[in-house]
Amino acid sequence: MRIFLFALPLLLAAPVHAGEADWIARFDVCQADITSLDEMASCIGSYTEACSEERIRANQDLADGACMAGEAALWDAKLNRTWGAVKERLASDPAGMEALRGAQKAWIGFRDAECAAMAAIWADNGTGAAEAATCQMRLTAERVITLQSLVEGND
Amino acid sequence: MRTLLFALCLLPTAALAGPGAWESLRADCQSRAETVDDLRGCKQIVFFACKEESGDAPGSDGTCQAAEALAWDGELNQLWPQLKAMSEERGLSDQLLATQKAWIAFRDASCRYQADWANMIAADAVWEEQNCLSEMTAERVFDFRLMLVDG
Repeated sequence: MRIFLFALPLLLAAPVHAGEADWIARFDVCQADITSLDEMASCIGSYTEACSEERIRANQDLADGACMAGEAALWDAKLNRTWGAVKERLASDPAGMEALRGAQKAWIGFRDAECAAMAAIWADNGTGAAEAATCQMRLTAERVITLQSLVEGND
Repeated sequence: MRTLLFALCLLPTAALAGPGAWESLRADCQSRAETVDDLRGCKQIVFFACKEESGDAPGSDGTCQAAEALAWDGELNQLWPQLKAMSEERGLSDQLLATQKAWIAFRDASCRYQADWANMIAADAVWEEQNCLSEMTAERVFDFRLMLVDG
């Protein structure tokens, strides 16, 4: 029964609702297609766009910010991988690594405060959750790009 | 006629040299901007105008980048009271203050790191730090503008 229930939505919905795997694929394809770090910013919103299109077709509201939150999670995972690369890059420069760790902590404080402010500013419109998730997605993506440029820097 | 028009264009620049003239170039660019991408095109206008006027003198990279950073900082300070008034009206001033303080801490830590790194590789640390301040402050100005329009 469980298998049947699981299979049913997949079978019925597959042609129209490609689902999260497809949205992630759009994000991954965008990341694979870029030829320089400058172009990475163009991938911001790739998952969200695919997710939002599908939810709109299904008459679902976007105000819960689920699409943006889903993409923010992808950028966050990328941030963690990039941070690993940064640590490798600065392995021979402990003072630099320490300074960067301080900057990263300050960034986390800023991101949290900024996105909480976005939630509050837009609360009256009922789009607070979506705005906060968009803020998380955008700031995290921008941080990935900044840190990646340190990894790729030709110093 | 063409020559005359060209000469007329040159006149105001010659008369208004210095930071005031660089600032009007930046302000003109921003007044023509319709999108955030257009606004981004107004970055470094002060820097290049300053560099040109200095005749690319030694040390002018750092001082001109500091002029660029100062221009954006001036605009941020101009926008702040408007944003503060808007947030007070809506009971969000604590939130705004908290996020701005967090941004300042983030900006300072990032640009300090940038300067340290430049020192380590014997690059122009003043330029690196000021360029970091310019970039970050300009982006914050654009954030403020969006909040004032949409918020």
